[in-house]
Amino acid sequence: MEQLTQQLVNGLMLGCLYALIAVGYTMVYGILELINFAFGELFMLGAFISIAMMVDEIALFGRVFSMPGLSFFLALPIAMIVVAMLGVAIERVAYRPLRRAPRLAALISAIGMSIFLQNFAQAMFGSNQHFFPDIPIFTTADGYAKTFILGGAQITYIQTSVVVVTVIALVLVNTYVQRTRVGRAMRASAQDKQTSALMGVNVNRVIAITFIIGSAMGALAGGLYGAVYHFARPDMGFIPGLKAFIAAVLGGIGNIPGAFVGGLVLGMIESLGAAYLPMGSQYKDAFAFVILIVLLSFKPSGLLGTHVSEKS
Amino acid sequence: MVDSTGKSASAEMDMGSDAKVGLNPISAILGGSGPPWLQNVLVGAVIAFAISLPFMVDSNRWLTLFTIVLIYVVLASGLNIVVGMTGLLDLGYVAFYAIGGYYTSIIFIQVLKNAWGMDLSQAWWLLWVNLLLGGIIAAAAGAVLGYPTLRLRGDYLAIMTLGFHEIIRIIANNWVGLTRGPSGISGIPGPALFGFEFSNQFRLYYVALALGILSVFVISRLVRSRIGRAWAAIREDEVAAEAMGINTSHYKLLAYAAGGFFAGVMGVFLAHYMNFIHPSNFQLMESILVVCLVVLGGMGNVAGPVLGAVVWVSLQEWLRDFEFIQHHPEVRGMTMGLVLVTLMVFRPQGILGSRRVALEMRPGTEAELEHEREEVADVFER
Repeated sequence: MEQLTQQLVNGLMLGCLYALIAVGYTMVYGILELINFAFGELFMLGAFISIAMMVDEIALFGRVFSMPGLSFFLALPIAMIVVAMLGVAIERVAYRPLRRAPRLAALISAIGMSIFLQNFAQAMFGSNQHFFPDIPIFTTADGYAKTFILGGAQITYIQTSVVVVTVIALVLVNTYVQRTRVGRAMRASAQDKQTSALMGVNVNRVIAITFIIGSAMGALAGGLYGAVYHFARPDMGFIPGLKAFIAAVLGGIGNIPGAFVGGLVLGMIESLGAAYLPMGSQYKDAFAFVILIVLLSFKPSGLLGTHVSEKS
Repeated sequence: MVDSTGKSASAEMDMGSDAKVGLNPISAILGGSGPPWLQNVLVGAVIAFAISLPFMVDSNRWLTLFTIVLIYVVLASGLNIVVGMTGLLDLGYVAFYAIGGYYTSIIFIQVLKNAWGMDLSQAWWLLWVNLLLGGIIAAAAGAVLGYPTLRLRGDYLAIMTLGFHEIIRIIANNWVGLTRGPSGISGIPGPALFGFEFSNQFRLYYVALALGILSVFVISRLVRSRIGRAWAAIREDEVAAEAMGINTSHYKLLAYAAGGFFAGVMGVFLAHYMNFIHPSNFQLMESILVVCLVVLGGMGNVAGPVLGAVVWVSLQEWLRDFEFIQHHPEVRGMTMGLVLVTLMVFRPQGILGSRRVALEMRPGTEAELEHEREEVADVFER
């Protein structure tokens, strides 16, 4: 029973992180019908920039720079801002010129961008794992994570914060998309870019804002992931990025509450599967892809999706 | 296919006849421009050059490099069927390569040697059978994997194939009983034929060359067949293709299967060539590399991926000598990413790209869209 509660809590937290990245995928896919593979890399950069802001000095390209050593709560927003700007730049350079080209071209460009960023991060930060500094209010004096007991399970403070932050962030994003003028422009662009443009929507600006939100959410997830697992590595983003896309498909692509539900379901399945299936922990990275294959075979519109994907 | 596979690999002598048979169809390779005799001469020259290459450079290092280039030539040509000809992005192509490699290694080492205690030199013929069987198994895997994405947009296929690649890698790493996990399978016998062993790099190069010429030949025939035209139609406009009576599901599955087949065959060859197989042979970056080769050389063009593989893999090996590259292996990945993005934005048809692909992949300008709209309006007025 304790183990079950523990796994549910772990799954909930993991699911929240997937959901945060999935928001970017789902919003961008909703408008551009493009899988922006680079969100996984933006997630990784979110973790790295958080670390860079929190330490006193860091080696970049083999040279040591002194850094401000900020608190986590300042470092994470900075990381989100930097990554959001990077996200917009990526859209401008790699996707905008291809907006009218066949989807294959944009997709190849996206995978190229992702590979470039991953290797660039390796050049910049080195291929070794970086330690994520302890955050004082989440850690005890001797370096362990602060915990409390609930239903027999040990829950860390940081896990709780991940869930709280995710829920707040997703509610904010959803309200923004549903209630504001820009949000309405976004939904209109997702339905028909050309007609929206005729109605006076600045589609380029809407797409830029979509990338800002998606990238910032990815960076947020990256910073939190680093804080939970205490590391960052240049290749850490690729698999979570793919899984987040699967979470977005699972929830119904183009749908923000769907991204949340999809993330949670995926996180739970992974966490419970790793604990209870035979050899589950070795094969846990494969679950998401098996889910995707089953899902695409039977219900490609996803759990909450109304937008059924059709042939191009 | 069956007897020609056996024959082509049978001896160096057969290379000549393969080359002769190959002349005309391979000329299709170089696209529609230029007089046919020039293309024949060109293809003949390339093949003659490839055959004489080992006599010009006599070092194992170079021969190894040429063999590796040939492996990538076939991989890129096979992936070109899916990406270039049919217009579907497969990001896990190396998974099929892994299937071929592990299939033959498991049969030879885990089953024949360890379970049945057989003398492997007696089973030399099985390698040639396995080339075909490995290909067929990989082809089946390709079709099964592609099936769920048939009703969907092609980009789901990209994610599915990435995921499939990951699943295959995880199985190779973790199913220790079958694949020996991270320690890999060693002691796989090299190719042999009636007691003649392809035991040195010189002889192995010719086996690879035979496979390479045969594969590119078959692909060039496929592309010019009814099937190839159906693929091109799907790439250009799937709805229109369907309206013209092409069973798109059928032809897409065929493309996945054909692509998988060539990867499977080369996987089998790789295992026997290296005598050792290991999960790190099949990393994700390898799949991306093969995509990069196709895009670089020119999608939808038989000669494109061949050129892409020759240029890139040679360059990569040559750069390995530089100390800077040795210390910074990530430069390779960065360049690959940049090449993909830059080519897509500025030259989507690649180095050799045909005009057709160039027109298709280019983002339309406002003026052209306007022109199209006027044409449509004209039709309605009449």
